[in-house]
Amino acid sequence: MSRLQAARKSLMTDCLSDMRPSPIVEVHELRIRFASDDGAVKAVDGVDLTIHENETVALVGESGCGKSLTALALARLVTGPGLEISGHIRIDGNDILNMSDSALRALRGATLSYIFQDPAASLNPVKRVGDQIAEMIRLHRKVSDVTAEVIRLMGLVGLPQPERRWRDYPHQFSGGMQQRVMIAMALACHPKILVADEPTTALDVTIQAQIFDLLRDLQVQMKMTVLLITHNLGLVARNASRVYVMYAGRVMESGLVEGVLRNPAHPYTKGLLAAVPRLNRAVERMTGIDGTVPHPGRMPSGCRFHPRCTMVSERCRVTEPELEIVEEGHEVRCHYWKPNR
Amino acid sequence: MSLLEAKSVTVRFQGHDDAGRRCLWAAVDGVSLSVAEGERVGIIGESGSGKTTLGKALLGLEPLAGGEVSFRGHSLSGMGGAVLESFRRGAQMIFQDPMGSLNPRLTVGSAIEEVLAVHRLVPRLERKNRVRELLHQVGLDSDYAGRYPHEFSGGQRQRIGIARGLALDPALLVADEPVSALDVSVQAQILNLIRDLSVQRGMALLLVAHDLAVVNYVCQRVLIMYKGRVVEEGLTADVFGSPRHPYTQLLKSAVPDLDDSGGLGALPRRLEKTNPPNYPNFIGCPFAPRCHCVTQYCFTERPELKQLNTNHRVSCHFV
Repeated sequence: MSRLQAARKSLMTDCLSDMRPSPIVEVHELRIRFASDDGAVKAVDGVDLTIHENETVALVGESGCGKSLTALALARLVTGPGLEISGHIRIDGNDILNMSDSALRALRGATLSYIFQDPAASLNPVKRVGDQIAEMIRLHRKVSDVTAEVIRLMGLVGLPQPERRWRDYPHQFSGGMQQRVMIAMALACHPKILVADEPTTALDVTIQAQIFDLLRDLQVQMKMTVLLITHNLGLVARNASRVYVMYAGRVMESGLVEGVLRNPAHPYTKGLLAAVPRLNRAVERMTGIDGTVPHPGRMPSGCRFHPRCTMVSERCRVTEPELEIVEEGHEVRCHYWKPNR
Repeated sequence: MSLLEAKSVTVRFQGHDDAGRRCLWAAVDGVSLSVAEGERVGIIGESGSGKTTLGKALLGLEPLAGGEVSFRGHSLSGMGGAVLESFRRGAQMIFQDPMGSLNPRLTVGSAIEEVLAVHRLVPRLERKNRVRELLHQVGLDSDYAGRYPHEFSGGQRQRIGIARGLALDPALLVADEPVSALDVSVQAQILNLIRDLSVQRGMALLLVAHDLAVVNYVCQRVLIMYKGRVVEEGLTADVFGSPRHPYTQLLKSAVPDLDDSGGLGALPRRLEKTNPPNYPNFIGCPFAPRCHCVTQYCFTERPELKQLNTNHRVSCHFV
């Protein structure tokens, strides 16, 4: 573990200096709009996101904040009625929004792979798991003995008796094991970037810890970049180096995990942190955040968080704040992040 | 006298053993527990631990294969007539998925009113007012009575479920994973609501959950279940503060906390979920195959719950 911690530390110092190569993922002014009966719905509205190589970045927020859509947009996987996507997405030098479909197909899986929340829903129930992993290999790589490679991958993600069990069907595996099958599929083409969208939300805590142990080991072994989508701030603290906090389609705060979780500048981040029940600390009363997430078709004026904010003023109702720099690498979208302003 | 008393409750289901033969296995295996008036007790367990089945069995919603549950001194099995009716009034349940437990074709008001009508507690003309009062108590606008479940958010629906649970002014509320489908900010609101209502009304609460931190926040006492059995039981502060059973220790270390920062060093390995050999006819400690301090003895002898002190019991040979 000390090796991992060292790697993480050097990553963070790299992050702050200008010594780093250009980022592997660059998202600029991403906007995703859908048509609805109430007019255009802006589900993602001007999101900037930067991920460096070998880094684990977390995207957090409540349901409907646009975190999953942002992640899906990285491989142009968003579909829906009246979809409009604008902005720039550069991944490993590719201009995603202006690529041909065939070039994009080659990139999916090989450069960028996904694992999702519910493995049972992502696996084909009537196909052997080995064949599902093999399909990935055949599509993207030239391997002479595909079965041997399938068995190697299943062993790599800690599935027991891969020589025998590659012939099994998804229902013959537990939820945690199914998620390992998904991870084996995602890793089949040695992707540079792994997007894990709530990968353990449906699993027990012990299995969750196991899956994250595995992901962390594989990340170091295979030099992977990980984008973790989650609503669990404990997981972010334990696994990510940088974090983006999203609310109602916008990034509200971003920065190093240490900075954002220890010294949150945005009232929304503070509210989220105060709403997490704690095991190691006695909390007299959790405060939570009053109200609910706004409907994407009926965004509030000014700052999108103002109807739920405890520090709201007239200025917040009228003008939407820009992202401001709290310290190097830590940005916040709030008029009043400085306590004495 | 405690409000609810369960003695060696066992619930069996039809299933298959390792060899694929049909057999009966115990989803809940000899669990005893008592809940005092106004007490908040948590039941923790992973999927398949039998926590939900236990919650149902305690309300008489699951037939017992052994043991006994009694409410205010009356055994559930012998209950009938007026006593049964008063039990049904006195013990209510709220569920994980509020949408799945509300009739989509009934307005929220009539869903709650139905409960009042069935139990003939409130005169017909006053029912509407009582419904508005209940909605107000759970933090909803009382004008919402005329709306349908689909018009509400997840958190609001859970509030409606709670309002319906409270309609009969129960002495015991069983809440099965009431917040696991909700966002954190909403989760905090609902947990505060449940805890406040329990304190204000002196209502006992049995909170079934997989999230240790949630139980830590709401409950005074906790039971940790593993494969149908209680492995550790005690005051929340003791059990989570200094867990004694290796399974409780494993659970605690697996919960990611905000204070964590990268790397987990001390996490005990053997997270793998494995069934003991010859399950469910296995006679040893069910946790033995995953335990980091296991001995041969654990595979042949089943540990009983041992009293550590008045408030803390553990079932492990080596505590």
